[in-house]
Amino acid sequence: MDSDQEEQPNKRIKTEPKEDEIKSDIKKEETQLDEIVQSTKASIKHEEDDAGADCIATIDKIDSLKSLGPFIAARDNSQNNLYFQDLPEICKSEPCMLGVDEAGRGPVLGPMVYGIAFCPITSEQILVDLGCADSKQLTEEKRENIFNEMNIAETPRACLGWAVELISPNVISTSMLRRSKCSLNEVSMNSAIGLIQRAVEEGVNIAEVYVDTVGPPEKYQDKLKAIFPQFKITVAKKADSTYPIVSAASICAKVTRDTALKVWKFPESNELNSVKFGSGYPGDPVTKRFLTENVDMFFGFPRLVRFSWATAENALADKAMEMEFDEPDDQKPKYAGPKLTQFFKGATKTGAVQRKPCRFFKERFLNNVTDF
Amino acid sequence: MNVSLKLGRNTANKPLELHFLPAKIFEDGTTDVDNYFNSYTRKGLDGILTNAVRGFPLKGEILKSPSNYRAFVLQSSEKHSEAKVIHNMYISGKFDNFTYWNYDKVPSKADTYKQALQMLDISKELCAPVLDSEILIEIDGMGLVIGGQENTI
Repeated sequence: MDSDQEEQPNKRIKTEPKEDEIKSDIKKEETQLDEIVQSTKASIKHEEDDAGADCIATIDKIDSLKSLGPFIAARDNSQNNLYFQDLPEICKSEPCMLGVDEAGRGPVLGPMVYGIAFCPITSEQILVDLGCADSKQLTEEKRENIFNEMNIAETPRACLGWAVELISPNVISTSMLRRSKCSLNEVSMNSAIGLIQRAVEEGVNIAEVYVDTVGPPEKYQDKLKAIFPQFKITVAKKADSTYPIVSAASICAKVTRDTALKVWKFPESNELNSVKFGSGYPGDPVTKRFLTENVDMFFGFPRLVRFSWATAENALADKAMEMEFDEPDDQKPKYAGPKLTQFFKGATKTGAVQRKPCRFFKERFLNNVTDF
Repeated sequence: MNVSLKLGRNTANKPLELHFLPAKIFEDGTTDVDNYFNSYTRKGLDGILTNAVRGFPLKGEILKSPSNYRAFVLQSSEKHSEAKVIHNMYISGKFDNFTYWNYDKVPSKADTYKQALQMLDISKELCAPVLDSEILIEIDGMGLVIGGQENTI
């Protein structure tokens, strides 16, 4: 990468001294530049006030399916967002079970959503009454109805709590393409752990934790047990069809993901807001068409798309400009050490001394250029 | 080879918004930087800017062009006429500051861009005229060191 960095100033940015103005202009210039830097800074949003203060004031609670959309739409979709529903008082005193599940792991676009749901162990029947069963068997409409019930009806409001974290596709891409890669499994586990941690901080009296696994369940279970030794932890495959509390978490996550896609706003262009992108699964023909028809030559896709997916990479490979970043650290060839023969390379066979470029220039990638 | 620099008054004054990206780009072209990139620039509490290109995380900062220097963007064109190559350069814009981005690395003094700029100081020293009196002082100074500790300036 270093050599790439240097190519730009060499080729494109030429600086030119203006000796005559050196002293008189320093002060003036500094103040001018400060102003420019200030104004540039002002136009850059602070990470802290992501959604804009006015939106937070109006929609900071989700009390029904109806308010879920506006809540998500008011947030910065290039960052992760966590929502923790108001805690029912009973969850602080009674021992609770807590379920964890995710939605939108496989698709090439949109956020991945992690959800938790919790209620007193004695209230499990309420989940069954609500219809929390295998969330994959439920239709979208059915899931939405259950989610709405959870937040409106009196009985579930009194004993059932939930929280979701929307993991932005932008964050997924940048995590997976870091110098030291952070795998999707790691991103997932961190989110799950973060949500459980938050529940602990909020004062939920957790006794049992049920988690739908990512990767091998044993390994994941050991990891969670090491962090939360005080809970009875069960990590299982297809936990969302076995444990109603995981189904409830799954419904929250799935409804949130579906809604997030429905209200997705593209900062890239207004026209994109009306383009259909489908389910996001690489096999979906609508998604395929979206990926072929919405390529920006330089930036590739809008950030709804997860760039780290092979589907996205392949779609860009033959369409967009070729671009080369420094390889992530773990792909670099290992240093093999200096070769002994390098000490005999000072002269050619005829005896002429070979001059090496001065180290100062070499390290800075500076060269003599006469033709350009 | 002859290179001539053409000054166009109208473009030379246009301030440009520049991004220094840690990637090799194999083609030239235009794109919508504002909507696809600038709209995603965030500033962390540590003052570091973050963004991404094609999913690659970037960390950056706003840099001024070196003091006492002016920064321009040049475009070149080549014309071939009667076995002669006419090489022209045009100033297509100027800038006072630009956003420097690293690939997943906080900008620091170790960045090769900043290292390369040290050349400006070196060349300034090398090009500055040396007066005879300065040489004499230098020689005297060496004498002091050799002469022993008793001497003071």
